[in-house]
Amino acid sequence: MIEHPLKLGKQELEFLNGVADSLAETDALTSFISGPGGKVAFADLYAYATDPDFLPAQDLLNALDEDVRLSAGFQRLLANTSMLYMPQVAAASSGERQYREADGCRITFKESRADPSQMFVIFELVDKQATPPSIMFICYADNSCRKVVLSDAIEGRIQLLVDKDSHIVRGLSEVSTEVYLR
Amino acid sequence: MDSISAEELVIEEGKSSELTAAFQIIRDTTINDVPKFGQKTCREVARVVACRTYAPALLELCHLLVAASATDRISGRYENFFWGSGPARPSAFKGYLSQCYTLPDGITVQGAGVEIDYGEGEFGVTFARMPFLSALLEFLVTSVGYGALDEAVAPLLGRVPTQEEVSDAANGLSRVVYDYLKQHLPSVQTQRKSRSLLTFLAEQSNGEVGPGTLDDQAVLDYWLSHSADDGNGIDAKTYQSVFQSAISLLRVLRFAVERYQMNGALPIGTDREAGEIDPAKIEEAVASIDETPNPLDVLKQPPVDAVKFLNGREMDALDGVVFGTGVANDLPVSVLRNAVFSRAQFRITNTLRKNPPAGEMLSFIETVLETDYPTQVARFQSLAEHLEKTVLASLYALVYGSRMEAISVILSVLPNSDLGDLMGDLVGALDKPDWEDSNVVSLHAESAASRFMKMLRQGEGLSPDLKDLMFRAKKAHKENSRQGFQDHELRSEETIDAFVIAVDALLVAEKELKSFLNHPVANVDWSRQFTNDEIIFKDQYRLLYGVGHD
Repeated sequence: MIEHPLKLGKQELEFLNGVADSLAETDALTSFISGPGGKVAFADLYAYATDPDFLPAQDLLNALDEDVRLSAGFQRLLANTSMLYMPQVAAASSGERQYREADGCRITFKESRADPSQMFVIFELVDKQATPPSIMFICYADNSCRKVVLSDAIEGRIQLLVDKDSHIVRGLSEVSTEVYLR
Repeated sequence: MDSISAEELVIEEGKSSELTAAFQIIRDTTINDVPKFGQKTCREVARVVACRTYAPALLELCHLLVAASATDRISGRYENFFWGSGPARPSAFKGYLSQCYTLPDGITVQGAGVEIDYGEGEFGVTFARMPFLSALLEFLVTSVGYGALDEAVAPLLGRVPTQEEVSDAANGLSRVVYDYLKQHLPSVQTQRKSRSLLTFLAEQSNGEVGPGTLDDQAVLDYWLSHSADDGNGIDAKTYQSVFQSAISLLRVLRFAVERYQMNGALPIGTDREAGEIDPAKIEEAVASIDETPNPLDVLKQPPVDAVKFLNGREMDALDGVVFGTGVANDLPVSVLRNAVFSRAQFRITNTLRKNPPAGEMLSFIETVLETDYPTQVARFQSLAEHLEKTVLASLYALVYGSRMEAISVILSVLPNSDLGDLMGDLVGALDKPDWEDSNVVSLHAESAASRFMKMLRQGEGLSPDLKDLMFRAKKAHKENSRQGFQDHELRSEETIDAFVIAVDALLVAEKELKSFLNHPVANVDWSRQFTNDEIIFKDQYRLLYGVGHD
């Protein structure tokens, strides 16, 4: 043990107080608390936005539904990391439409002849040589977003066979949605 | 002294928990099941936040964001550099940058880092610094949010900006962080527990303070005189909180005395005459005190936590005695008081929530103790034995996995063992001069090491003490049935990796606990001490929680 005491002036006392407080605060900030901390790791958000194989935890989806700031940040992340963006359709348009388009891509719907309850959603890419998108996010006016993993492109064309009544068809037909492709 | 209400204190604690949750997320973030950030890196970020010295680091981060956004010439975005490059390690960032062949003019990757030439000056960020800056960025997106961060740094992306633009963005970011911390970091006014304890010590000893001044009696006196104070902003009601402050303060005072001995003064800063304390000097001091990580933290996090070296009860007990070399030895009675009476106080406050009648509460206080000092000392002794066996079982795992770290464990457990002959070839191979062919050297070393590991495994050709050690190691491993200790689990490289990381921490914890038990603890009459303390603590409990108190 170091026994020698120090004669501390006001300034030294203030300095050591500051050190002790900051050390205690650093300890508190990095203390191990049990259970979920109620926050979402940004690494998970990024993986959800960019990795078609990433399976999000229910906590992440709930947080995106419930936390307005988080979902706004997430949409900004989608905008920053997507290769194609389809904005809301002009206000003059009616509530639903049968195609969506942006610079570089056009999405159309075609009824399945084999099963009238199903529909093909067809993505036609202008640049057939570029890396095709593998993920689509449909974002609604209430800031919620739905992720759709796309199938492989063949000669600049991606086809999805979905129920007519699926959230994909409804979301893409809805004029107030925004679409991000990555 | 400024006054702060109990209600305000609760709000302040709420602020802290929001920030703690942010740091928990950063610490728990994994990439392919590997922690994205090291424990030391997380503490470095927590330190600049706690000391409010984040501004220079934010400027560095802005420079790195310029380079990161330049790695993607098409989008000009920085995200993939930070979140698509794997665990935040210098090698990962170096690898990522080295693969970018089309960086714009003015940005060059060099041996030690990346250099940005702004025309009017240059700025370099080393690879070694990048994990810290990446963790700082993770803190920003978790705390102030991605939107606020992205808005502040938008002018830096897609081109090489001017230095003034980088500086403006860093200042903007600093303001965002300042506003956030104003809401979420407890104010200086409420960070007064240690402040008050140090002032108390200085007053008691005419301003002459040192580690020796902060003894068991001072800690008890402080608790007795401050625990009943309400509304002064000092949370000293529980003995545990006072004990924890004392441990922190002891580490600070040890640092202060060492600096005085080295320099004849404390490193307060240059502007002494103006009476200002430089926050950067405070951060430097905290960094210096913080240099040696607590071994228990290593055992609590991945990948080590996949192996059950200690259960929750054992970990809790060690948390109250392992604080760094010799710290517990300076406050032996306080350690025992905390172990026995803090638990009792916790039970009292829990019972109080049910609003029992006053008489019932007083009866509860009479019977609240679950243990006494001799029993607690026996528990610590049994914990020390468990640590010893766990180290031995870990040694067996290292030998089983042919890991060279086994040798340093052997040297720690048997410091007088002569490994010279056994390791002759290995030491000779490793000692060959640099100018020899490195492949030949590594083959020599590998072959000698593998022979040595085989001898340890088979127990053949070993000296009697080493043979006995390996026998005990195998026995300790076989007798441990906890998660990670089964024979089949040793076939997993990840499990062996956990043993490699954990064994040093286990050795440190074992050494510290044994030193505590062998020196100060051995010199106290614990039965007598308990009889005296029981009267003092129960009197204080009655004062705090008896009739008329909440």
